[in-house]
Amino acid sequence: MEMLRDHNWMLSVGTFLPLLGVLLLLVVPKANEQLIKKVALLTSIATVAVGVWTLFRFDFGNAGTMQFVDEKTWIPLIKSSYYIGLDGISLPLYFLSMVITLLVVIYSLDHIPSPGNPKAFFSLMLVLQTGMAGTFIAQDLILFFVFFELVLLPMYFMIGVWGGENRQYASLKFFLYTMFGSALMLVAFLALFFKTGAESFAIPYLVENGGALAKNVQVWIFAGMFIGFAVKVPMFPFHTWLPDAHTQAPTQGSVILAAILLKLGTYGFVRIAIPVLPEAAKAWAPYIGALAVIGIIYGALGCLAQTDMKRLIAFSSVAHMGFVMLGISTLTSFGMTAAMFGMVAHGLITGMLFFVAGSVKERYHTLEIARLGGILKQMPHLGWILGFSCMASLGLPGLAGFWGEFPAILSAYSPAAGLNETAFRVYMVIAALGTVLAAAYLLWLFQRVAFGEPKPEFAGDGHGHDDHAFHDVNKFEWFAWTPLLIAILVFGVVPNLMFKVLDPAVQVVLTGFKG
Amino acid sequence: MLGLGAGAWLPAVFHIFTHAFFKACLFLGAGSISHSASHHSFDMKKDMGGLRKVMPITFTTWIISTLALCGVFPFSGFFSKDEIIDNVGNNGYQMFMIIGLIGAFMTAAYMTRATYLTFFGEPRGASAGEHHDEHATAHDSHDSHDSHDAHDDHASDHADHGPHESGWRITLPLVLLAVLALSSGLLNATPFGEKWERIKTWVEPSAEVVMETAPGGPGHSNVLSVPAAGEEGHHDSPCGSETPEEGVCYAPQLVHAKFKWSKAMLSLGIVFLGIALSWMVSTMLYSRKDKRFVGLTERNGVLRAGYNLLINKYYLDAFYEKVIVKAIAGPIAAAAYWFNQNVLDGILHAVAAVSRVFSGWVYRNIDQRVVDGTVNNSGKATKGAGGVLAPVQSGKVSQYGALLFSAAAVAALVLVIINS
Repeated sequence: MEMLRDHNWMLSVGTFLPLLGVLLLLVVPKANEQLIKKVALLTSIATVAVGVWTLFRFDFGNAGTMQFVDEKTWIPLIKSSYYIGLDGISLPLYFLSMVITLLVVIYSLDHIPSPGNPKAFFSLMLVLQTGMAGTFIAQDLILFFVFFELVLLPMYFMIGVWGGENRQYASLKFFLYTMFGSALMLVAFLALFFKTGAESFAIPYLVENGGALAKNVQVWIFAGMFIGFAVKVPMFPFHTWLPDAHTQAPTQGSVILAAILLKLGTYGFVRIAIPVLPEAAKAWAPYIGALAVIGIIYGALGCLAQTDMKRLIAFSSVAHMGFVMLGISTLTSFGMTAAMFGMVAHGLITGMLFFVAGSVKERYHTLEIARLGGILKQMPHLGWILGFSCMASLGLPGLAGFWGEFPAILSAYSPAAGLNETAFRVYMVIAALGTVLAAAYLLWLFQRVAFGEPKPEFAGDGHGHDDHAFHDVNKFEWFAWTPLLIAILVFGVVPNLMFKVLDPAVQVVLTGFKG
Repeated sequence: MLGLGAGAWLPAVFHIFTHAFFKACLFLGAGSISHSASHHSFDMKKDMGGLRKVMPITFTTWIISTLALCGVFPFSGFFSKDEIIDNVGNNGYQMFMIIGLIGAFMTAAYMTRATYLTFFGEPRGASAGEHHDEHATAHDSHDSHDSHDAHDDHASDHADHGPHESGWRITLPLVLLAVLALSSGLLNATPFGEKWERIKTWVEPSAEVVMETAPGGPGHSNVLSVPAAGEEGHHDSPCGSETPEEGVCYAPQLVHAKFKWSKAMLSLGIVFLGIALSWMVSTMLYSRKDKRFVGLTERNGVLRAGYNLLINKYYLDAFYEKVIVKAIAGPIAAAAYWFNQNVLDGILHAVAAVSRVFSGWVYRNIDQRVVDGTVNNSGKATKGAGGVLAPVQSGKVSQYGALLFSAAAVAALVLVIINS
């Protein structure tokens, strides 16, 4: 496989820079919160700067080729190496993780959740960033696994320490559930390693040799990876950790979870499971597609049943990731490109929705839909941002959500050769019905919380008892949100910005299906 | 839609085009009345009547558009609507042509009734000067942009509050739309010969000849077989005006009905019949209050049922809202969520509970008795052995993790052995 090795320091710097920030934070006294915030902010700005530099250096004409490739000996004993690279699939997610972390840090300057302790909070966030970025550049299964697991711990503590009332339960459930998936994934990785001759954990090597495995071996190995990735996505019926984790997590945690962490699972399918095990992917695709559309409908129904705004947004992820998985399960370049687009779009939009939910909670001290109302009257900016995000989330053409959802549905019309066309067309119809439900639960949410008059308990204009009760979007929020809002609009109007990067890389991933 | 479904694409597209003008004109006319005459009411029975005198421009444009909608010659609707009906019949859908004619009859009838109620007879309700409270303030703003009022025509004590023609900002668009409603049909005036058919040259697909045969899948098009063109058709070739010499023709067959005044007269006759009948009934019902008609829907059971069905829009809204939406947002969503919380999470919690019970048992019976017992008996250092199993029941996440890792390693080994 052809690779570009120029500027190969760039990815390592971009990935590990946050850890440097953590080291700096360690020596800052806990009481000096201003300095802590500055260090965290500068670190994440520097990280994004490296990311922007990477964007400039990236050869968009060769988006299908691994670039900035670096390979160093790491653990020769188990034939695992420090092997990293970036192509058109990784790039959007890699960069998105950097941007989201920066925006979350900006938001946190003004919104450290109880019980405080910014030093620990920012440190965990930066460690999280390293784990996320690393997962998207790893080209070695062990390295991938290490980064994949590195993400778990900071998130576990974020939920467990800074979370809501039921945080203990939620954090443990999140950790154990993901761990269960990871364990099976590791089994699959090890089996793959041994079955391909115990030569290497490098993904390109495995892509070349995995296809030669007998079909039943492939199917079993795929099963292990499937559980690992499906829990992370999450796919029905492995999703029950998600509503709890998202709801209990602090706003920052929910945003990162929705925007990046869920993508680790879908990314795993696209980067590892499908190219390495093409035969198994074909055997599994109809089942994955079925679970995906069940997730779409089921997630939407779950949303309709919710009484809590944040939990509703959390459940909507189950439905949205269903569209992503449907696109992936078609095993066509069209479907996969749509899925990749959907991943980024969902990251931007659902991240934005969680930000809004966090700010609503901060002002009203509740997210009970029945108690909210009239946000548009009390805080017009916040109300309109919520409306904008809801429209984007339900897949309104012209905003980013549409380009993940609609092509994914369309791709199910003609899945890859060898897949059952009838089944996928049935999926297509069900998924299309799911968009109606998505519009229903999002517009219903918006109508209940934003329209009408504020409920009597919040009806005061804030002059009497608490002057800060209902101030509209503040400057920290504007700084954190504006880039997301712009990106949602820009990718909605010019989706080709991303499609042209994704498509060549997806073509390479699918080469195993053409031979 | 009928035109599209029955293969009369050209008139269908053309009708959408002309429809835009006269329907927009009608809506704007309704808005004009509501704005300037009936105090924001759209109730024809309650708040309108006799407005033709006070709103001459609105009235004239309304009449033009109504005639266009009904498909009366030479208004635009005639050229498009009649073509649809004609072509539907020509393409072999006799049944639909008859339904189309019935539809034309009913259109003529209901538009006549609406016109009668709005512009003829005596003013009623708000149009007769009865006004709502907000009128005084609302009227001031009307006056400010009224260039030509029709107050003088209205001999009434309520001259200041009464209905009047709308200002130029409303009447100018009305007039423009009415002109288009009148004239836009000429853009594809089939009755006047082919050189009048301009839209046709824009809308009709031109045949594309593809040499290789395309495989199936999306985008694969078939040659659509619409009944072959007879002597009445403009083109005899299956590819419209361009016949390929070889290869596949990727244009659907197009057949046009040949215009005949005899056929047009039939539909025009039906339309005029509709207008006349409706006018008669309306006069009897609303003007002379004929006892045979007034209250008929209350006296006759069948008619009452029909009236209720119509007034409730065939109960479709009720069905959507009360049955479908309520069921999905209510019990179905609740059931799915119940399943999520009780069945899926229930399984999860059951697994967790069983694991805890099992690990407790392992701790008591194996770790404490067997391992510790052995260790105590042998008197050797216990840390290594105890360390293996003690974490099982500790409840610490990291130790669960370690356990899972080792389990994973073992399972991997098993998998390798099975498959080799």
